[in-house]
Amino acid sequence: MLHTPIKFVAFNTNEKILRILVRILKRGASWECSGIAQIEQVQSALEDKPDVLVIGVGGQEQYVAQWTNYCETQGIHIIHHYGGGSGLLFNSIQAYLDQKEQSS
Amino acid sequence: MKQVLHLAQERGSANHGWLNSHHSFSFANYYNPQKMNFGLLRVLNDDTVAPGMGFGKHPHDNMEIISIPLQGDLEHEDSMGNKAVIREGEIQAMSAGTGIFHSEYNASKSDQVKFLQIWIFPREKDVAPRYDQIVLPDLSKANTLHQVLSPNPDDAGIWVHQDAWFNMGTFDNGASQSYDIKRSNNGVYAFIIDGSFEIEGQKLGKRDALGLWETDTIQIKSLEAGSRLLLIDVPMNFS
Repeated sequence: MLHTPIKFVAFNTNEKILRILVRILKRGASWECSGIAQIEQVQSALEDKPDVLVIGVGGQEQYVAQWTNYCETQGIHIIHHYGGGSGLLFNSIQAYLDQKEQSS
Repeated sequence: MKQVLHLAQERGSANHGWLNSHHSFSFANYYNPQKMNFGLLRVLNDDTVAPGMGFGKHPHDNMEIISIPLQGDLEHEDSMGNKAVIREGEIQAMSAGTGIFHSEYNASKSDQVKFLQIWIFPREKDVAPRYDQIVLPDLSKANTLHQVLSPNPDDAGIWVHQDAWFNMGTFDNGASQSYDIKRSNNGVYAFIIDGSFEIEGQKLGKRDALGLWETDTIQIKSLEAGSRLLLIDVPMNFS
């Protein structure tokens, strides 16, 4: 998992948690991550075509709906992140990679 | 009625020396796509922590986190200024909401602490973080289910931001009890803490679990003296 190149965008309005998320999402040898705390900046980050959008604290419903629609058209996977640290995040990334492998 | 059986020995496990953990559902390095959750119950970790050791400061958000010590005492400190020891016979609930940092250590320098940590997806996201702990009712009164958690602050037990109810009880050999599921669209995850039970015809030993849903009532029978179980009654989805 850690050797598969993945480009993440992580959104979380809790900046302390965002810093930790970004650190975790750079743990893979070929993982890249942009951390965003301002909700208005997410859409432009999505236009850089990341592989995965990680949504955490502060994801207001109308924005999430807008991102979901956009991501579906662009093939960007969405992870709704709960829990804070890596306990569930690595599971969600593994599930994404499984899904990607099955569809290819 | 639908059901899923999770045997104790089929759980994920991780032994880090200071921490020996058994995961009922996928967690950290344990990943089993067939075991991601039971409804909105996402994590049930059965942890043993060495004396004086523990989990350093780490974050949580948007999760209802419940800790139940089974043996020994757990020391908790968080970014809201709470510092407490949760003892055997108590229950702790934390609504992580918009974000909380906390640490958890074995409060003893000489004895292990064993505890269950349970994570449930919240009913609503981004709530104000909160922390609570209470003394459980006297669970030594045998053959009775005691409610230890609910969604209602005025109801028995601790409360969380989810339509979830926990019940615990200790039973004599042969004692029977029925349990009515609290809400339509909820299911029950029955986790055997000690001893053995027969639930809806399924025999279960220590740390086995049976998830049941699309039913209103379940039948429980203890198969040995001192058998103890935890019933986790949770919504099966977000609707």
